[in-house]
Amino acid sequence: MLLSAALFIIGVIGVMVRRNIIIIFMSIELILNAVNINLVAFSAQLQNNVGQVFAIFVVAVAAAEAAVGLGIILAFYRNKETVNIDEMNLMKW
Amino acid sequence: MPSSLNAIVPMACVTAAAIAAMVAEAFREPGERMPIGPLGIIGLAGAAIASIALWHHNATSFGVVAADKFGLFVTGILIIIGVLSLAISAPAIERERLPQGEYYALMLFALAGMMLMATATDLLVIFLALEVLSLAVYVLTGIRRDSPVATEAAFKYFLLGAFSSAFFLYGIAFTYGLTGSTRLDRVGSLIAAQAMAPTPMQLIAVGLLIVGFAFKVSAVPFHMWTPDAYEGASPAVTGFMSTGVKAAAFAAFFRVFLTAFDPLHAVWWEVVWVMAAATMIVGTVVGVAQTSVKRMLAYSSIAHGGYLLVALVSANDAAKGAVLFYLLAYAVTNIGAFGVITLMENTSGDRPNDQIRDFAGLWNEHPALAALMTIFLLSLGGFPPTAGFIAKWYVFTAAVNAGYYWLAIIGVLTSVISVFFYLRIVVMMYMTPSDTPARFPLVPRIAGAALVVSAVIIVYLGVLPARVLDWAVASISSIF
Amino acid sequence: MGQAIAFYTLAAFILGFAVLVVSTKDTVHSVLFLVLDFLFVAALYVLLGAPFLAAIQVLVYAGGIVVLYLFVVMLVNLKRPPEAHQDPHRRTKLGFGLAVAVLLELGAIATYGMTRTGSPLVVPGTNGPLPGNTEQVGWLLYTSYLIPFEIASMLLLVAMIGAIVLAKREL
Repeated sequence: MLLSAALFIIGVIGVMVRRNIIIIFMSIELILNAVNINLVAFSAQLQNNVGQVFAIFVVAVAAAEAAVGLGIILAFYRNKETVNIDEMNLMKW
Repeated sequence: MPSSLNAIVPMACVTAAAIAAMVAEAFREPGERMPIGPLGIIGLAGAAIASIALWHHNATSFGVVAADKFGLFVTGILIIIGVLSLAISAPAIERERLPQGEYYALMLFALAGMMLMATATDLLVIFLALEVLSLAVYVLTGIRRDSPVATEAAFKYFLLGAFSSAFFLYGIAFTYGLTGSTRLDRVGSLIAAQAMAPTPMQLIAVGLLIVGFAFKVSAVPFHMWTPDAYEGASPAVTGFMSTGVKAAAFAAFFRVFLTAFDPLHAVWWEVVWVMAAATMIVGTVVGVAQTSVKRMLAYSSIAHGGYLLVALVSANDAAKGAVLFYLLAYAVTNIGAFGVITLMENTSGDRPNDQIRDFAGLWNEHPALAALMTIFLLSLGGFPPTAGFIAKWYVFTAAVNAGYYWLAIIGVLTSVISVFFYLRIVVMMYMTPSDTPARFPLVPRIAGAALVVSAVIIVYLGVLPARVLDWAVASISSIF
Repeated sequence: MGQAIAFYTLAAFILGFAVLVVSTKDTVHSVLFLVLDFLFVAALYVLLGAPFLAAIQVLVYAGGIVVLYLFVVMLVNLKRPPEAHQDPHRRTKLGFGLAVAVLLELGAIATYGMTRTGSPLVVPGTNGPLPGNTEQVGWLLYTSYLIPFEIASMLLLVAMIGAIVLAKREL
């Protein structure tokens, strides 16, 4: 539980602080892993396998999200030749 | 067919249509034209028939999807959204040379996800449906792959969306840890059975779930992605996502918080109260400052999310009925408004045709389009003969009945302010002469018909709301 | 006792690698740390009695997702030194504030964990009639969670279409 919370925090900090969007995505993967650890821990604690089933779905979702996210990165990179988040400035307010 | 699958027939119809669209696209010769859009409309019609057939049955599938009246009402709203969106998409696809098979397929998949989200009674299903619709909408946002603005919008939307999904998921994990189940009814009864003083775990779970939902319904302070995503996307897509995503997310929001977490109402109402107030104020005040119509409508949709949150806070019977009515009115109106923008936008110029000043002289060029836009804007602003007025009226009445006077006052004030920026466009259309005549492309027949239909619905709901409202109240009473 | 030691060792590794993933300058190194992190998480799953999930973790994450990341890192080929021109103070404060907030949350959980005696809410185990973790998980997946399973397949289809639409040069 504490482990998962700590991993969650690291992921959140990663999303907030880093400017490289690929690393931001990896931070999101870390967050999803934190959730999974949480689910499995609860599953072990409650002697109830639903948590593990849930975790499998989370893995599937993470894979799908990674595919689409990286597709968006590629499309973005092709247009702008950068992966730095500070250069996303076409739209303000 | 085993009866346990009945509840998912509407989604199955839409999914089948989506897959059919993919297959049709795969067998299409390059350059050949195919009526893929109508395929989608057939699927949606099937879903509509199935929903009507299920209306009195309260079918459930495996205890995770329940086609109760609440879910079916929202499904009905989503079907209307889907038909209108498909109809106004055709000219946009043509003009921007979008991959039409993929476009329609993604839109239909998103619709199937939304329907699932509206009918799901299990947190796991809600989460998966949310992901299906989000992924499809992210891609739709960025489907103009050659446009830097569109890809940037898709990227921002994706990043914040994925981030918020993670929060939502973390909230579900805690809920599971608390109760050992993800079924809403069991979660609700277990939480209700617990001691009165809420534990930290409960607070964390509720807080994280609120954050996740607030992102999806773009409530302040989690609204930052909204204007960018709405501006970057093709306007037909914007109309779709500003209404469909919102309707589905609000449906799930209501279901989760008024069933499973209803025992904790005393805990979360303050948070949602503040969010509702902030959302209404920010959406309205910042909306006034916009020069782009799309961004202005984005802020207006944020403000409308705030009004819906008011209903969630009130949580009495009147509010619950009002929400469904409001969602319907808002959906039809907003799609109509974005439909007009779709028809106006010409990409032959160096910039999209969506600044407020581009609407100058629309009345002289296209009186019909201008008249329709006026109806939509008046309804968004909440003028009396339209659906928007009735919807707002019921929501604020509900808030007053529940004793939340300040929320109602803020709501009325922000509505009055918002009238200013809607009227600005109207004035532009009628009073200001156009400097560059004949910019507006011809209106395709299907899209025009869709707009007329939505205008008719708005006026109907505005003049004779009683019948639909009765349905809404009846459907809400079936679950809460 | 041995289990506790194993748990804390794994936890330390997971957190350490997570910090490295987030803090490394080089994106490729970051991806590699991510793989290691996932592998340790898989080991943790075994420890927590979820061997099937551990296998999935290795296959899908370490095998699939990370390879995807590596491909994109190679494709996107960072020409300029990454993060050379970042404004160091703008977001760091925000991140720090957030960290403090979540630390408070951690504290709340910890105190709650200390004060709590047993868990009154626990539902009796709903495991299937079968022995063995993999069998139980599979039984749940194909009975009460059949519909989510189908939705997940739809999700993957959407993701596939989406990724192709976005990333392909010519359709």
